[in-house]
Amino acid sequence: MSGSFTPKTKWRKKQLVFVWLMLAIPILQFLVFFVYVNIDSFIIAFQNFDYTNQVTEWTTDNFRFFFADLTQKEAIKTAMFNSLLVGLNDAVLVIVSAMLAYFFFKKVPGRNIFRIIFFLPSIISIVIYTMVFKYMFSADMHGLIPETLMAFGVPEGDLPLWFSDPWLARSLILIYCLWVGTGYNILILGGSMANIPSDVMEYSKLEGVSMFRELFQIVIPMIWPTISVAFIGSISVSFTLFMQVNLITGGLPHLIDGSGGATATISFLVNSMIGSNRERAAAYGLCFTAISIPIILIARKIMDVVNKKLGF
Amino acid sequence: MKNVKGILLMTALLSSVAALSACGSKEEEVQEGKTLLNFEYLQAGFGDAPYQALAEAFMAEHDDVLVKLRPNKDINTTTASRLETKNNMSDIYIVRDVLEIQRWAAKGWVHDLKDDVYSAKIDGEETLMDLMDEDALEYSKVNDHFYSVPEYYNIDGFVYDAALWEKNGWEVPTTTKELEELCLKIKSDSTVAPIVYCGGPNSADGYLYFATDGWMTAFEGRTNLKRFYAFESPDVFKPENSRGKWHGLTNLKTFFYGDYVMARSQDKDFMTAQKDIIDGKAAMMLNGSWFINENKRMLDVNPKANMKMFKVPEVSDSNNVKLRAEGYATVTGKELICADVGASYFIPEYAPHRDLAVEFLKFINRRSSSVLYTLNSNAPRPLDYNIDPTSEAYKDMTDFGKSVLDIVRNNELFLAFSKSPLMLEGHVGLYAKGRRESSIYQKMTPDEVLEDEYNYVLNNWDSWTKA
Amino acid sequence: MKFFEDFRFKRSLRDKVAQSKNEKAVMIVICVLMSLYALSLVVPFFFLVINSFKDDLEWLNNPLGFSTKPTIDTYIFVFEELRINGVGLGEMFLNSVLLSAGLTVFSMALTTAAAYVLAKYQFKGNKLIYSIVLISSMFPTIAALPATYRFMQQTHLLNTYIGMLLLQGGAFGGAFLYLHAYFKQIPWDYAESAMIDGASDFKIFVRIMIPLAKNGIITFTITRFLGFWNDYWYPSLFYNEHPTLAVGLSLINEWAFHQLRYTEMFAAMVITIIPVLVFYAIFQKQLLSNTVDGGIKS
Repeated sequence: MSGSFTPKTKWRKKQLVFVWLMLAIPILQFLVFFVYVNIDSFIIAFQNFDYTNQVTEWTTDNFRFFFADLTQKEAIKTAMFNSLLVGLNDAVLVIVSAMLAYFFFKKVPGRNIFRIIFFLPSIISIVIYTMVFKYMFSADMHGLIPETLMAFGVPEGDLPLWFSDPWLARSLILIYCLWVGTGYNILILGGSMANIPSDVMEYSKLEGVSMFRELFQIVIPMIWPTISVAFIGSISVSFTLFMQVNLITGGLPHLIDGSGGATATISFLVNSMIGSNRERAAAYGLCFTAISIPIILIARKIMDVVNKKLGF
Repeated sequence: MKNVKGILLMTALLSSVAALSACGSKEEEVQEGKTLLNFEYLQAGFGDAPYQALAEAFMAEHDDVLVKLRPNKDINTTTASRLETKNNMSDIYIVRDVLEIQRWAAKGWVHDLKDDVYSAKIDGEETLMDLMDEDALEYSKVNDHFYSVPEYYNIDGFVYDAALWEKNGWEVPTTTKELEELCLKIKSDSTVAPIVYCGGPNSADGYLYFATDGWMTAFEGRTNLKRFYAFESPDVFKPENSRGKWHGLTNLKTFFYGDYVMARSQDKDFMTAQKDIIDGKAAMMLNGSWFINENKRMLDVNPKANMKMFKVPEVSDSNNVKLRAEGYATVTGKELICADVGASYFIPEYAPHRDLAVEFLKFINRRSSSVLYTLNSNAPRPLDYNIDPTSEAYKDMTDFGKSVLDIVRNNELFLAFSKSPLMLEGHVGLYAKGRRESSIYQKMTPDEVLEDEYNYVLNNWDSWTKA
Repeated sequence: MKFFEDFRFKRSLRDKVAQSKNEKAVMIVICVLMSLYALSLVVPFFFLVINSFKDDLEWLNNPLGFSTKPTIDTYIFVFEELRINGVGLGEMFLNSVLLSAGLTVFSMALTTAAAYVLAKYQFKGNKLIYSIVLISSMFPTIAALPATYRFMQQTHLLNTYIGMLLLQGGAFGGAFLYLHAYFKQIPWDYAESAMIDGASDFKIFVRIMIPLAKNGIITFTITRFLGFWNDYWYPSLFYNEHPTLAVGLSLINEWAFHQLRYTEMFAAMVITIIPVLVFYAIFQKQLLSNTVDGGIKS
């Protein structure tokens, strides 16, 4: 009848022992690697190692430098801008994938093969996929794209400078995210569509609803919860996207004032500081986390409102 | 049932490969009775040859020692952690950044070499302090301690194929005016691109700072530069006190961001650019003394190429008169070139075989060892040893190595370093915000760059220098 | 009247036919687009493979065509001689296997245990723990890495197997939420009879509950294994003395770059992809279980 077990008194103790034994390691791991580590980050952010006096001191300097760098150098501003681009890119990706997923759902020919291929980027390591992607664009590696352009008569000097023009380099990262993400999102959103109650789809068929109307007025609203989760995920991605930048451009090219990389995202900026100045990296990370909290809360609120309006 | 089959198949596959891998890996066996000395260095341009030679020479004298080479690509990131945890430490290291060594020393992880090595007799009666160049001693000194020994001078300049130049009648330029004339001549006479550089990913930003720093150094002279690197006040960044940088950045624009440069240089990686030089598609490229070692494979395929280096030609006016800053002065009267200590040796305080490491380090600094090193790397060391043209060693060197040594012999070396805490803490360097070559590339003028730098330093000076 | 109805019927039928003709055209266009996209995902690997059979100098001159004198020397080199910092491909493979398998088993065990207990047992703190877990997953932690690193150093867990298990064996992720919900909706009736017979809680968990959740557990196990296998960032930071394949590949990339031995690197890449593809072929159903499956309702 009921879902959970309300134990009788004489078994109570044995139950509790079992429960806590099962939970012991997971909770301990969580306390150490989440709670303790984040508290320690907080502590580290207020420290600095003074090399002249060779002591660790308490200071708010790291945060002061964050604000000084924010106003005086391009690095932080660019990182935030790039993260915004990544987030928007991802949101657009979700929408486009939803539309394409619809056709999957409507049994586009070839879908069985597409299904297998679209999932490949999730199967093969990001290290390999980014390498392969990079080589496609690199003239030094005789990649497909430069070689094709040159075969069409474009002289080598006029080839796009994918890695040294800031905007081209940024678009490399965005293109990569679209390239590997589209297929995966199509499959996941399509899976969500498959769970739409069959009577809704019957109704749509009987009424002779056009594809366009069916997609936008029926299917997308029906899978809105999945889409809204994906949108929230885009925000998270914008703050944490790191590996792709690291492996494709390494943050390069340099910014105009030399203060950092033109393709750095927030996570890349923080991670690249860890080797040289651990304390400052922690402080910067905390500042960015603080910035992310209101953004995520607002986004969740908006999604909740929309979900309610749609009747979920 | 398909699942079970799948799992069984996977297990079979995994265990068979695991078995294969166990056969494949060969473990090095430490021979009985020998003490192991772990020698860890950055695996980069020089390759292993110079360190191999030093290790073998040392082992020839000490047959109870096995020097194990541990080339490590990630040495700059793994070492700090290993020193901190005292786990998996090697006995002697070579790393790039002496400031890092000094920071580790501030945390107590690095052995003070003052008594063991610097004051000890290295070669006959001479101590390391006797043998080492003044500047290099000053460079390695921290208060009254020495935590590192410089490995080599990074001598840089334009690398070129002397065979190609001779064929075309091109002459090595000694001033920027001559360089410009040469570039025009190359462009009009041939399809060879005058200059190529490697502005692409992982390529040290094209080594462009060799040129900008070289032009600046030759212009400013020793006294001015020493004053700059003392960082006594923000005035050292004033645009009127930074004419050397101005000339550097202006010439950077002329020669590297204009018509003299091979197409697509901004995107090329260093192996491609180096190949272009060796293949004769470009006439010259900024590079360092590691060029031969790094490009061995390509040079083997192009035996006709005769690589040499010439120093960055000095800034001159349109009348070909060399320009000098106000207050220009040098010690020897020779022209000033920018040298750099490329990497430094250090020994961890808690190294497993610290005494043996000290012995090895002393051995490395003997005259004969330095000769061996230079023969294998084409790079000079900041010590006194005989590699002038009359010596046997010079005759054995490659043409490239000889040209590098000629540059060293004919010019005065300036070693750029600072003892100011501002530099140690990472607030300033030659530039304050970061390397500014990219600023010029993205169309800032040199005046704007210098203004930007000065304002930044002025705004933050107080917060950097508060006690 | 009838004529009028006929007319409307015929017109709506014609509209429907026209509509479905339009729709067919749209479908074909979409099919072409998807084909191009699928091709783009696969073509780079095609070139990777054909280039791996070329000698380096041949590749420099002929980067996109088939080899005129194909060779397997590249593969032989990778198997026999390639050593990065003393570690060969076989050892990297072994490291990957051990790490991924151990992490998967450990983390799935913890996840299942925690999900079950929190779903089925009422005790003080149950709701609190669950809410904390939910909230903690909402916000991205960007700053935690320096502190994590320092912790691993101080406890000497860096570069240890146990260290990696503890670091990455977190119980509370997507799998936890799914299994928690799943266990919650399993009726307790099955367990009640076993309890009356005197079975312990643990026996109930293992003998009754886990088999009921078998499908979900298996799917997540497979997905997690793949995730750990392909993970680069954490092993490169915390386990770099025992390079896994993902870590090793980027080291091989750097080595190849300096030595101008790209075709050997291509061979290494091909070799590392094959086990993953085999894995994919075997466990395809589970991996794709959350996705649209060609229109057949799951």
